[in-house]
Amino acid sequence: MLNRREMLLSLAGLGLLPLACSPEPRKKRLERLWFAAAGLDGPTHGIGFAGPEHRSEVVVTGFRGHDVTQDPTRLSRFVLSARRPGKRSVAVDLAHPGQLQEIPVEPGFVFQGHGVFNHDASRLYTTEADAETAEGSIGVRDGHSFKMLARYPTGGLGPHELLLMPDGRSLAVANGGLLKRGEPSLVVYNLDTMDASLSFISLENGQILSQHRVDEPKASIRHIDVTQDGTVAIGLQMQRKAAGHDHITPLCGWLRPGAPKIELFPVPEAYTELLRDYVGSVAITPDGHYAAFTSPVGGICLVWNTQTQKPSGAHAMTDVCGLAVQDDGFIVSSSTGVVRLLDFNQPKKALREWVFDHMQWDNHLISVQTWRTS
Amino acid sequence: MKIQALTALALLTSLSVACATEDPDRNDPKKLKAALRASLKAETVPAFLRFQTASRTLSEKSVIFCGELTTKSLAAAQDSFREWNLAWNAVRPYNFGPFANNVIAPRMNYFEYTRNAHGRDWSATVRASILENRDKEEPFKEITPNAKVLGLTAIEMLLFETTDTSTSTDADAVLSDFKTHVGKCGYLTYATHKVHVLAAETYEAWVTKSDESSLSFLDRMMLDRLETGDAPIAKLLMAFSEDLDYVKRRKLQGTRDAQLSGGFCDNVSSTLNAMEHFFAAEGGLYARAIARDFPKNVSLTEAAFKKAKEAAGQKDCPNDALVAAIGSLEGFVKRTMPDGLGVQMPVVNLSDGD
Repeated sequence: MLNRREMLLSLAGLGLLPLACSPEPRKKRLERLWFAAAGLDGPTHGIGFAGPEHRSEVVVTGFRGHDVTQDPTRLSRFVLSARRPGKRSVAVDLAHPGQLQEIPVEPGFVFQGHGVFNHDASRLYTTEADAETAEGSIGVRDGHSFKMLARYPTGGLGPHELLLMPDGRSLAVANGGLLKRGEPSLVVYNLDTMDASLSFISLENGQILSQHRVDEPKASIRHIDVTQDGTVAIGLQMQRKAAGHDHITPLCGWLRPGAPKIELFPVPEAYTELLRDYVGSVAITPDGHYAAFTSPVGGICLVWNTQTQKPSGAHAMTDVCGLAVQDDGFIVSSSTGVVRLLDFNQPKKALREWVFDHMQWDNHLISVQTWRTS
Repeated sequence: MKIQALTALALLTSLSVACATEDPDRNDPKKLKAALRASLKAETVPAFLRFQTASRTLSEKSVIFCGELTTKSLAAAQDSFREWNLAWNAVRPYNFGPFANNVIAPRMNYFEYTRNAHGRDWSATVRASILENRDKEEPFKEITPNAKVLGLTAIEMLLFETTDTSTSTDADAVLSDFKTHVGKCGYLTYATHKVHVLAAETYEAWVTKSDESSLSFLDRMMLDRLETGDAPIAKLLMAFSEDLDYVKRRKLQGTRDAQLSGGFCDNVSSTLNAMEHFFAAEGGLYARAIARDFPKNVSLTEAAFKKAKEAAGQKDCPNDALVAAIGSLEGFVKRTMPDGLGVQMPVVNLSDGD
């Protein structure tokens, strides 16, 4: 049952109510906001956003999204990617929140949760998979009409997060390596043969430029982030049932530019164990000095200092997953509606906390400057 | 169009009825907090006090045994371990707050290491540690042992089996083993003292002053949010359901513990009794759900507890029946009771494979 506020937000999201009723002239200003997929069920699912000085709002989309990406040329425009195995994604411009622009998936394919624009927003790239075989591909779409233009293989099954590399000419794609069919179940059909990889794909012709793996064959590469110099931080998820051992497995690492191999960070076992075999989100500072990894299973955000090669610390927070970098620290969010700012060096205690009642932040959070009319 | 208009009318009517009949008392957060406090004061705090007392007794009996090294004092130490384990199983479900005082080395780890390390059997590590230290005069004089080689598993192994390859559980053999290997007593008294100290700290944190706060944790449970970001009542109900899941997956579908001391089924019963008494406390959570007009949620949960306790009370508590009953009870604890209490639980939807 929707409460009154949710009902009003839903109606506002559908364009049935004005978002602001003030007779004063509307002002446009640049504001820092956090965006994430949000909501508990169909009528409340949507793009949630809030900010340090802004109450939370939801633009209702009617389906559970996964990641949100911002149009770099029109800062009020966002795409909500459908959660795997999704059939719908949508674009929304906060200047016109009632007008959702549908992004359909081609028949026989499913969205895999993440998307990204290129630098001039002329293209939108989304991770997708064959609904039956889970063979991964990048859907290449016009960045405005979202008309499908091309499809590039990712070189693996079940691609998940993708990133535009700083040069703007290639994508980094995490191939989870798992065969999950086009159904929402959690069944994995290929635990024996799973093959996870990190692929770099040319945007010019879709060619796979290089592909990298970790030594542990049952570690699925699913979440990544990138620094200014093109270092890609990765977070792993262990398929423990298939591993056949109980050894604590490193879950955090990076691939430096030009390096042939992914380097796993020497995180002490006591910290790795807190992640409970599962990294749900990764963020690395633009200079690459600090990397953070969240685990909703462990209720933990681990911050790793890449210069000292030691943990800055760990922050306990129930169902934490959303993770983004700001100048002043890492921002983390949880399904309980909490957003916290964590210091790069001492993340144990939050620097600040914001509580957004009735908001359920989903897996991924972005922290961006955007135009808002108020 | 006509159908749409009727649907809209029906929706408006139902909304207005809902608004007209909405009892503001039903969702009064103060009443929920009062009920939570009643359950905590009546059951939780006494349970932690019993655990503290049992921990002190275990430590004292271990010291006495090591001073005497007699059959009688060994039996007394073993009995105190069984009592301690019952008391422990009554408080283990509270795996938050004082038990989770430190991210890396929480107190919980020093009692039952496997609780925070799902799916891993550390018994070989513990045995290796005992073997390595059994002949040292003061095993831990120069190092601080890791939590994984202390606590429940270590104390049980020390008190109930020999360190030779036979790992005999015969009391005379165990006594002889203590006499032969002087380090066993040092290990035992260290481990039981550690348990005693941490149990006392835990009780203190619940009733007087919790870690890094001037409030007792009992008072902090009356705040709107805990440090972990969730509502206290939701955290507690989630911790209960997680503990049931732990018993089911790790112990019933994995490896039963307390095999040396022989109290597995009684320990499960202790957990179930403690949880049930918590809900049923006078003016507590059952009462609150009934006051909110959700008696069915209470009766269903009561029935689930009854079934689980019956399964735990059967001879050797057969796995299949207990797994099913505890699995069912878990659902009542994390869904039915929260619904009856009007509690929004943490979504925990972020870990389903993406």
